[in-house]
Amino acid sequence: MAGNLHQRKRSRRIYLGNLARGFFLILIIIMILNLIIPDRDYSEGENRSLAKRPAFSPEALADGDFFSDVDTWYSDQFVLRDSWMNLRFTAQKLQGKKETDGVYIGKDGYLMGRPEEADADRNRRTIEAVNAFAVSHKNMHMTAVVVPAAACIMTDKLPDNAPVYDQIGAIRNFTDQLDDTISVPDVISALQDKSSDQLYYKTDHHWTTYGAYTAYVAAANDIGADASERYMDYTVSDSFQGTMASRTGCRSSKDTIDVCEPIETDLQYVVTYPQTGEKSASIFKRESLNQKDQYEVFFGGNYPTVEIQTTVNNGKSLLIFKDSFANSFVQFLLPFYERITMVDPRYYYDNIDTLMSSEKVTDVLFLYSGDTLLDDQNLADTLEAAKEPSGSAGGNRK
Amino acid sequence: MSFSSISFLFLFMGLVCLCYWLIPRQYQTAKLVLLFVAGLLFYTWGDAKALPVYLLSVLFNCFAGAEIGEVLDEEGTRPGDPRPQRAKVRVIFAAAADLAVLALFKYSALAMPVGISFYTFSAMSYLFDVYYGRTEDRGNFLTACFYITFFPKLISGPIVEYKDMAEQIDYRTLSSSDFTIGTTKFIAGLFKKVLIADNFQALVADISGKQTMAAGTAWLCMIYYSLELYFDFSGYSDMAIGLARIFGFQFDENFNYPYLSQGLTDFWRRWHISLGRWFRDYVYIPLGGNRKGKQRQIINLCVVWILTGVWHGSTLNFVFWGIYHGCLIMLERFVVPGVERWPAAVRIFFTDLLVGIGWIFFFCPGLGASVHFMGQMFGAGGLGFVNKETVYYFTGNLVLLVAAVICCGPGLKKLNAKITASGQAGRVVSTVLVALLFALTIAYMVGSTYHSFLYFTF
Repeated sequence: MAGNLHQRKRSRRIYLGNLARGFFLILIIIMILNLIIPDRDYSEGENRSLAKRPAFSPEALADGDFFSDVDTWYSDQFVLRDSWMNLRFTAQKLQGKKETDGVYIGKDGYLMGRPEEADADRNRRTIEAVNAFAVSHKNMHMTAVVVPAAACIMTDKLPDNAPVYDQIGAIRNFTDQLDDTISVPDVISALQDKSSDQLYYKTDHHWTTYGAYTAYVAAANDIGADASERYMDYTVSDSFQGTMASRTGCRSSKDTIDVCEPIETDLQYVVTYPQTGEKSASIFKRESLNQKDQYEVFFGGNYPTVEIQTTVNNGKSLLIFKDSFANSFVQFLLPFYERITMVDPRYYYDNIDTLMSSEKVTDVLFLYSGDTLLDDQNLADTLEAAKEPSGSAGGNRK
Repeated sequence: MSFSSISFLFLFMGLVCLCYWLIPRQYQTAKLVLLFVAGLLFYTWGDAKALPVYLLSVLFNCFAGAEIGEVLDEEGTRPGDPRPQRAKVRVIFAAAADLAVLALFKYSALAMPVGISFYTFSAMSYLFDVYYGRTEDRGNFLTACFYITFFPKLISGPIVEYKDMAEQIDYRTLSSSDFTIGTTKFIAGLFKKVLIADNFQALVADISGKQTMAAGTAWLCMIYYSLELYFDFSGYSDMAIGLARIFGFQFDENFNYPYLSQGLTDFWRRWHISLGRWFRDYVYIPLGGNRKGKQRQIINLCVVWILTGVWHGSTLNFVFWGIYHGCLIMLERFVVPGVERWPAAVRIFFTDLLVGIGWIFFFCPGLGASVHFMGQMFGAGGLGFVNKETVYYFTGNLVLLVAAVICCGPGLKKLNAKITASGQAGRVVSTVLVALLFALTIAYMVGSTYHSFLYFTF
C-alpha cells in the first residue's frame, strides 16, 4: 500500500515535470515563430497599421522609447494576433460578459460603443463659437443635426439593465443653448420612433443608410430639402465588419451596406477633392468595398474639404460642418443644391470665411454624431479662426 | 516590465531561460552572471530613465554594507556582541540616505523609479543583516549586488530578506523538482493575474468612477476590488517565486489564502507576508517588540502600522489605512474578549469585511472620496440598495466572481492534485484544462494590447 502511494507520487511528479517542459516548449516555439515570421504592415482585423521592429539608438534606449517600442512591436506582430483577439471575445461572450473595452455586447449580434460623459467646458466653448458664427452670418440659413450613439437609440438591443450615459439629454442640452436662428429639427425622436429597425450597423459605430434616411426625412423641411423625394437603394456589401468588430475581436457578426440614388430626379454631379485634385462622377467609391473599413464607400473617408457641383440650378449652396456621419447623409441632399461643400474641421486648417465667400454659401448645416460633437474642439477652432484676419487662420493646433 | 506582458513572457523570459539552460551545469558562476546581466536589462526595459538612480542606489548600498562588514571584522565583533559605534554610525547613515531618496521620490513630483519601494527595502535588509551579523558572509559586495538586482523579485517583491537569500547564492543546489515546482507556481500566478485580476480591473475603474450608485453596487465594487488586489498581487508574487525557483532559489510564500484569515493578526500573517516580516525584523523587534511592557508594545505597533501605511503610498489615505489596521489589531489583541471562541466562519466573515472596508482607502483617490464612497455603501446615493445597474454589474461578471471566490481557497488546487494523482485519465483532463487556460491567457494578454485609433475613424 505504501509502495503504491510512493509510485503514485512519483508518477505525478513525472507528469508535472512534463507539463512544465510542455509549457516552456510552447513558450519557446511561439517566441521563435514571432521572431522569424516577417512583420505585417497592417491588420485587416483591427483596421490599423501595425508597429514594426524598432531601430536601436542609444538615445531611444536612454529615454525609454526603445523598449516601449519593442513592447508595442512584439504584441502587434504576435503570431496569429487576430485569432487570439477573436478567442478572447468568444471567451468573454461565453462567460456572460456584457461589455468589453467600452463596447456593449448587445443582443442579436449588436456591438455598441459606450458613450462617454460630455465635458461641460468643451461644450460651452463649442456652443459659444457656433452662436457667434450664426450671429456674424445672419444672412444664411443654419441647421444643426446631432446624431446620438447607437446605444442611446437602439436600446432594445442593449444587454439587459445596461447603464448607459444619457447622451440624448446631453445633446438636447447642447442644442437648446444654440442661437434661435439655428433650426434644430427633432431628428432624435424620429430615430427613436424607428428604433426597432436597423438604424445603426451591428459592428460599426456609424448609422446605416436607413438611419441616415430616417434623419433626412425628419430634417428635410429645415434644411430646404423635400422629404417626398424617392430613392432607390442598392445593397453593395454584405460582409462589412466595422470599428466595433475591430475593437472587440468579434468576427461572427456582419453587416450589409446600402447606397441610395434618387429615382425621379435625373441628376448629374461632379465631386472634387481639392487636396488631391481628384474628380469623380460619383460620391461612392466602389474600391473601398475591398478593404476592411467598407464605410469608406461613401466618399472614401474623411477629407478637409469635399466639393460637389450638381446640375441643379436653384442658386443654393450648402456648407456642411461634419464628421463621418455626414458621409452617408449627403447622398440624400444631392437633388436640392447647386453646390455642396463638406468641411471636416478635424482636418481643416484654412480660413472658413474665404471658403464661404468663394462658394457663395447660402445654407449651413452642422451634422455631427454626439460622440464627436460633445468632445471635439476642432469645430470651435475652425469657427473662431474665421474671425481672425485671413492668412493667420492656418495656425498650429491639435 | 510586467511579468504578464507579451514581451516579457514570450521574449525576455524565453530568451533568458533558454540561455540559462544552455550554460552547462558546471559553470554555475556563468549562470549567476547571466541572471545579473538579465536583471540590469530587465530594469532598463521597465524604466530606462530611472536606471541611473537605480544603479547609484545599488552601488551605494553594496559599498555601505561591505564597509559595515569590514568594520565588524576589524573590531572582531561576533553575532551576540554589542555593535561597535563605528558600525552603528555607518548603518544609520546608509539607511537614512536610503529613506531620504525613497521619500524624495514618493513626496515630490518626480516620477517614481519602478520598484523603488521594493529594492530600497531589499537593500536596507542587506545593511541590517550585515550589521546584526545575521549572515555568514559579512557583506560580500558581489553577493549583495546579485541579491538586490535579482530580477524576479525586483519590482514587485516578495521582499526577500538578505539573510534568507545570501546563502542560496553561494551554495545553490539544483534539482529537476525546482524546475517543476517553479514552473507550475509561475503558471498558476500567471493565470491568477491575467485571467482574474486583469478582468476585474476595468470593471472596478468603471464602477468606482461613478459619483452616485445604489448601495449594492458600492458593495459589489468593494468586493471586486478586494479580489482584484489579491489576485493581482498574489499572482505576481507567485510568478516571482516560481521564476526564482526555476533558477534554483527558494523563497517563502508571500500570500497564504489571506481571505480565509480568522482575524486581523492572522490576516497579516497571510497577506504580503514578506513585508510584515520586514517590519517585524527591522522595526518592531529592534524597537523592543513586546518585551518592554504593554505600553511600549502599543507604541511599537503604532510605529509599525503608520510606516506600513506610508510604505504603500504617499497620500494621507494610506497613512489612515495603516492606522486603521493598527487599531483593529490592537482592538483584537487587547480589547475584544473571546474573539477566538467565535465560530471560524464568523471570524472569516468579519475579517474580510474589515479588510474590504480598508481597501476603500486604496482605490479612492483621497480621504474625502473614501468617505463619500462609504456613504454610497449605506445608501447616500439615494438609489436604494439594488437597482438595474447593480443587477448589470452582478450578472455580467458572475462567472468571474464565482471563479475568483473559489480560487481564494485551496479547494481547486487540492482537487487538481487529486485528479492528477488518480491516474492517466485524470491527468489528461487536467492537461487539457491547463492548456485551455493558457490559450485564454495568451488571448487576454494579446487582447489587452489593442490600441484604439477610433478617434481618427469617426
